[in-house]
Formats: sequence, structure tokens, C-alpha cells
Amino acid sequence: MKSSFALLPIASMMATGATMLPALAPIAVAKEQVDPGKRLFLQCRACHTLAPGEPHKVGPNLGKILGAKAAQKPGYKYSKALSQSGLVWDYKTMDHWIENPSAVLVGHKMVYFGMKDPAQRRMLIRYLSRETKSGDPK
Amino acid sequence: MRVPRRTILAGGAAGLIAACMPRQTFAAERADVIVIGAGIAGLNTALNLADYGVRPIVLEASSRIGGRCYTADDVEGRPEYGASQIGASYARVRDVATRFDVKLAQGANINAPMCFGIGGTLVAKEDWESSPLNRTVGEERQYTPQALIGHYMRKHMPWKDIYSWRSEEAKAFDISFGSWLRNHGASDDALRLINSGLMDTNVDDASLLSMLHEYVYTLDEIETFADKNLDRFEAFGQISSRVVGGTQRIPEAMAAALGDSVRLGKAAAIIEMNETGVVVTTLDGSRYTADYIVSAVPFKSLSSVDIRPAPQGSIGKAIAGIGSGRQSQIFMHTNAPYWEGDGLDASIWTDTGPVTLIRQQIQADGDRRLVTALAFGEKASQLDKMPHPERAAHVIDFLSGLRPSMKGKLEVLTVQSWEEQPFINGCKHQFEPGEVNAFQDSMERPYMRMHFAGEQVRRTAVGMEAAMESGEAVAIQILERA
Repeated sequence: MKSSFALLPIASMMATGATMLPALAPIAVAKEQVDPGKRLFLQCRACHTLAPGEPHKVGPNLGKILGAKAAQKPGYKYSKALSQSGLVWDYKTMDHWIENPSAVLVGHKMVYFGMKDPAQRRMLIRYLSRETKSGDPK
Repeated sequence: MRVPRRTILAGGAAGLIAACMPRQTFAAERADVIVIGAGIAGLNTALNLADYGVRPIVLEASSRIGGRCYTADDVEGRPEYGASQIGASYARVRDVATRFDVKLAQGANINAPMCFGIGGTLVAKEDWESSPLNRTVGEERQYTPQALIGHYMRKHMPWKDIYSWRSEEAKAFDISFGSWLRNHGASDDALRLINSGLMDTNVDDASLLSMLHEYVYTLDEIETFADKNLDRFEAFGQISSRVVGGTQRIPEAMAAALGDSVRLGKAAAIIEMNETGVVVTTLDGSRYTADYIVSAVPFKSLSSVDIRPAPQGSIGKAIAGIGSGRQSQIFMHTNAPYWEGDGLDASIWTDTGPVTLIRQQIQADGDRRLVTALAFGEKASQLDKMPHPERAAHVIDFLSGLRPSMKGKLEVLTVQSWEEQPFINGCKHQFEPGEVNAFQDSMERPYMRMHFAGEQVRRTAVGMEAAMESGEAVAIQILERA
């Protein structure tokens, strides 16, 4: 059990418990103020840059990715599997990829569990399309 | 074997300090999210939240940033007490290093090859297979003692990817590591040797599932090595990077980017939650309020915080139950190349004596003075019972007996034990058989307004990258909830 004896002074100080909690304002930045696509990209950004010409990270730069052939960026070492896949990043392929990369291709090296919610994937792809200057995703 | 929490509290600083706490209450400081623990898990949580407009306060109990990223800046040569290897796939660690201009360099902890002390007699690596001291059986014989785990892991690894360990089928693997080894025909002496180098108390106390995940994460990279007689740490070191100036430069840079939202010397004593928010009271009587709280400390440390209402069920059991592995270390300098004296490899693995590993490190500039003796599990437990000076003398005595060429050639730099580290209380979380299945889901979810980060909440990665990944995951959870 908890150390009620050791914490006695503070325990008595806070004996009224929950009633002492002040009324709180909601988190400063409301959900709708951050682009939902940008929020979803949080789980991608450690590995990927978006704007064309930005440096590669552990994953490749994604500039103009939608509509492009897979594994084409110079200066990035893609997996053999992706290089030889013949994939084109159209909307449908990207959607499947983000849902579960390993279901699309065996032997790729992107470390990602996948995004199950189709609505979230839609928002993320819209964000990717805009930020990578890819134009309208087809 | 677990140390009962009551013992930890009675012996720990937390209880003593709490008893002397000021009675006066102060006006609570307000943040959006309070993070406890300024290791890289907590700092990455805070950085991600701050980037998305959410204001964090990070409360660090000790006077130092970094948790188990701990470079001994006050010791000659600045050895690493804790994390030292940045794997090639550690995307998040590498990203913060780039963002905050912390330099990495290839190769982390490159140590001299090993010879083996078996029952007090030294055997060269190349003589091991045919040595009468090698009492392992069949194909085990070709693997040196510290490489036996890797042999069994490679041979019987059920997966090739880092996701499968979370699948339904994987639940059947949350059994004792020892029973799995026996089922795969490990000999009694292989089990004995594996036990000697284990951080857990015993092969039968370790969850196989947790260990399989740890191995499968590095398997691809390690597989590229022809030499199968390296342990996982040694092999990973060669394909990893080190942080120039010490691993601790990474959390420090992260904390610097967070500015005054990181507070040192603020140990959470009470965490109180209701439908609208959280109040944290620290041992010095400071109070903080927020919408959400993130625990980014080892569960063993969180277990001595008074959480109200007290967590029940699976998460309650996880916080109270997840233990830590032990690691006790003696850092030494050698004043002469003792390995030239007997022609054996400079590092040693030994089944007898107070330590298991003696690593003779080869620095990037060729400096070979640093020698580190490490004890794990039960050996560390025994060693930790001695005061520091006696501990070092005892180890040096033992080494001088085991390897006469070392006699008079070792000087103690410092002594460190993770078990003794205030507010950390251990080297690394350890899952017992069944605990991954019992705890994993509840650790990944929030308890009321409390979210859980830290290496113990592994998803895909291990080590430092797992800590970073957990911080990112928790930031996403909170942003989606806000």
C-alpha cells in the first residue's frame, strides 16, 4: 500500500482531496486550431521531411510524393523490396500503405504499425498532398 | 525476486523527505500537461506537445537531466553509466540530435575481445570449443558463454518483424525464458552460463516474450556480422553511433529547447486527479495543476508516488509489480597493457567472482585505459551490499587473482550502481513471465488523466528509441484527447 504514514503532512494538507482542485480552463490550443493532418503527421515527422528538397532523415524526403513512382529520391538508400516494387504512390496505394505497410509489401524498411481509421488516413493524405506540393491526390 | 515496495519506501529518500515537508501550501502553478521525469521519454513528450501549442511543465525529481542517459562528466574520460548506443534505426533519437545540433559518431562502446574465466581458470576464445572447462553440449560448444543467448534467439526466433510480438499468437510466448531454453534442448551448463550474465535474477524469472522482442529488434542488423561469438551489446555497438561528448548531451539539448518548463529537484509526491484536471504536489511542497499528467519514470519509481485515486486492476498491478534489473559497475583505469603480459584478450567474461563482465574499452582515439567491471542480477545484489570503497577493492582483489597480469595495474575511477540511483532505482524494467500479457495493454492506455511513457511501455523499438517512441505516442494520445 501507499506510504500514508510518510506522507502524512501532505496528506492532511490535501485531505479535502478533489474539492481542492481548481476549475481548469481547457488546454490552451483547442483541437480544431491544429490542422488534424498536421497532428497525425506527428507520428511520421521523426523520419520524414515534407517540402521538396528538404534533407532525408531515417526515412526519405516526401516532396511531391503523391503520383510519383516509389523509391526515386536521389541520396536515399531504399529497401530492395521497395526499389523493385514498381509501386506508384497514387491515393489508393498510399492509403493502403499507411493503413499497414507490411500488407502492401514484404521486406520494406519503414517502421510503422499502421493507421487503422480511414478518416484519419484521408486527413493525413490531404495534409501530405498539400505540404509535399504534390497537387490533388488521385 | 522483488523488493517489496514497503522496503523501498522505508529505505528510500522519498519517505524521509516527505516527513519533513512544509505544511504550508503554495499557489499552484498552471500548465496544460505535467510530465514527471526528465529522461528522454518525458522530454520527448514535452517537446512534441510544445510543438503543437500545448504547454508542458516537466518535473524532474533529481538535480540532473537525463535519467538513464547519464554521462559521468566528473570522471576522467567521461564514461557512460547508462545508455551509450544509438542504433542505425533510432529515428527519433537521431532526429533530435540533428535538430539540436548534437553530433553523433560511428561506433559506440567498442571493447576489446574477451577471454573467459570459468571456475577461476582463463580460457582464450579460440580454445573455448575444445576446452574441458566447456561443459555445454553439441552445437552449444562452439558458442562462447556470453553468445549462448544470441545462439538460441537466432535459431528459434519465431518472427522476422518487430510487430508480431504484440500479436494474439505471441501471447503464448510470455513464458519463462528458462523453460523455453530447456524445451529447445539447452544443456544444464548452458543454462548456468546464461544465468551468470543475465540482468534478471534468473532465467526462470524473465519473460521470454519481452526478450524475443528485444532480440528481434536488432536481429537484422546483427545478422550482418560474421562473428556469432559477440553478445548483442557488443555487436550492436559496432553498428551503432555514440554521442560526441556523451549520451547525456541529448537530453540536455532537449531540455534546453524546453527552457524554463523543465524544473529540477521537483519530486512528485502526490498526484491527484478528478474529472476536470490534475494536481501534483512535490516533496518540497510545490503544487502544479494541469489537464493531464504523463508519468515518464520507471514504474518502480512511480510506485512510491501517492496516486489518488489509487490505480486498480491491471495498471495498478503494473505500477506496483514491474521490477527492475540490477547493474552494478566499477570503472577503472589500467596503468599498463596487462593483456600483453599474458597474451590473452583484454576483456573478460567470468562465471565466478563478484562481477560477470570486464570490458576493456577501445576509445575512438585508441586510448585503452578504461576498464569497466559489471555485475548483473544476483551478483549486483551482493556487490551493492558493500560500501563503495570496499566494493571496488573486492573486485580488484578478485581480478588480480583471476588474472595475475592485472595485479597492481588497476586504479579505481568510480563506482556506480543503478539500484542506488535516487528516483531511478534500477537499471532497466524487467518483465516476469506473464507480465507482458497482463500489463502491456493497460500501460499503453491512460489511467484517468494519467498517461504512461518510458522504456517499459515499448511498442516497436527498444532502448533509447523505445523511450522516445513512448513519449511521442503519449503526446499523440493527449493531443487527440484535448
